[in-house]
Amino acid sequence: MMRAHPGAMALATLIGCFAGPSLLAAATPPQSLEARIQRIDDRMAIQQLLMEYGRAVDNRDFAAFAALFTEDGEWQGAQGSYRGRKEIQESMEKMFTDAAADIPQGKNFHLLTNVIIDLQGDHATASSKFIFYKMNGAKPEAEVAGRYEDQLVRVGGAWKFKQRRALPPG
Amino acid sequence: MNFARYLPVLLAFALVLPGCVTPSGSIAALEKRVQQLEDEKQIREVVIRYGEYLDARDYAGYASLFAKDGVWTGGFGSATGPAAIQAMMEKNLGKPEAGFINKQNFHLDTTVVVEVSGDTAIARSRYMFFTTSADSRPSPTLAGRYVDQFVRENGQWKIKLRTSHGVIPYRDGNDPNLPPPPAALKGIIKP
Repeated sequence: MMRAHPGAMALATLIGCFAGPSLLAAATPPQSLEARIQRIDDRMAIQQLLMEYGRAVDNRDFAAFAALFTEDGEWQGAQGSYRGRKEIQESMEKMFTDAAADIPQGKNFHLLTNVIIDLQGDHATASSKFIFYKMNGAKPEAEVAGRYEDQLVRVGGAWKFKQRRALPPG
Repeated sequence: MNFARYLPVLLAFALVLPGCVTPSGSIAALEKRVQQLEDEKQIREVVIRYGEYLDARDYAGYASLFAKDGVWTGGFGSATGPAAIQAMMEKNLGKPEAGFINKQNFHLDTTVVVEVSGDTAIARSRYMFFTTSADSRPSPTLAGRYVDQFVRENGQWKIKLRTSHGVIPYRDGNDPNLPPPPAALKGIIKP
């Protein structure tokens, strides 16, 4: 059996102390507590943005709805593709005014779920699901289900939609 | 009492105390709270991805959610570890088609409650499986709940064991002799 040389042991301890942590650091870059909290804050803010979208459309508040987008933001869906806050607001107002007989305000809502957010600094992507429920008397009935794919960007400290695409669920 | 006499001493304490006592203690405590939030976030994401991968028929992604000794038990039998779970899924459900988009059904995952204790965790959640009705509406076809045992493996949270309980219609996930799925699901899901 080999006996370890005391000097070799001491060297191994030193390498263990100094090389160990730096090797670990190379594998997974350490994040400051501040950076980790920032990421949690960013996720919470984006979750909130995704929920505000549902609230604005259910309240038919399309000024608030459009304000969730960047100045040059884009909305894409089966109904068309709209760019910029003004066009988004006007198109949504028209879409919901035209459909008011079928989906009057207060008799339907969006259920938003399955949110997954991928952060990259001041940019992010999010994927989520929606179900649009219509009230049939007192009974909620699922009318449409789908998926949102979002490109988000931090503008002046606030997260906004750069692009939202409404797609089939899968 | 001459308060002014003690003022320099009090000031010295006030200056020294936050410097030598609070930071290390509060940063360690903060670090623990941040870790807890990060753990919960990652576990919630696994619960969602479980359904998403199934919906997308991405069985490699699906299997990657399991721990190396993670166990899948269900209608196809039992498999342990990502490679065996992926092979079992593909054998029973077929290899995924490239560019597949599922326009027929999806899992809605909700009411997630996560309890983390060190490197293990339990997540309880609910699901609804929506299919397309005859008049092209989303139709809730199954409702149930999951109980997941999680384990931290190389810094990533993985499923060690998932038990799926049917609520509507009722299926006891702990019963090895599960009744067949409802007739409404014929041709939609195979397990």
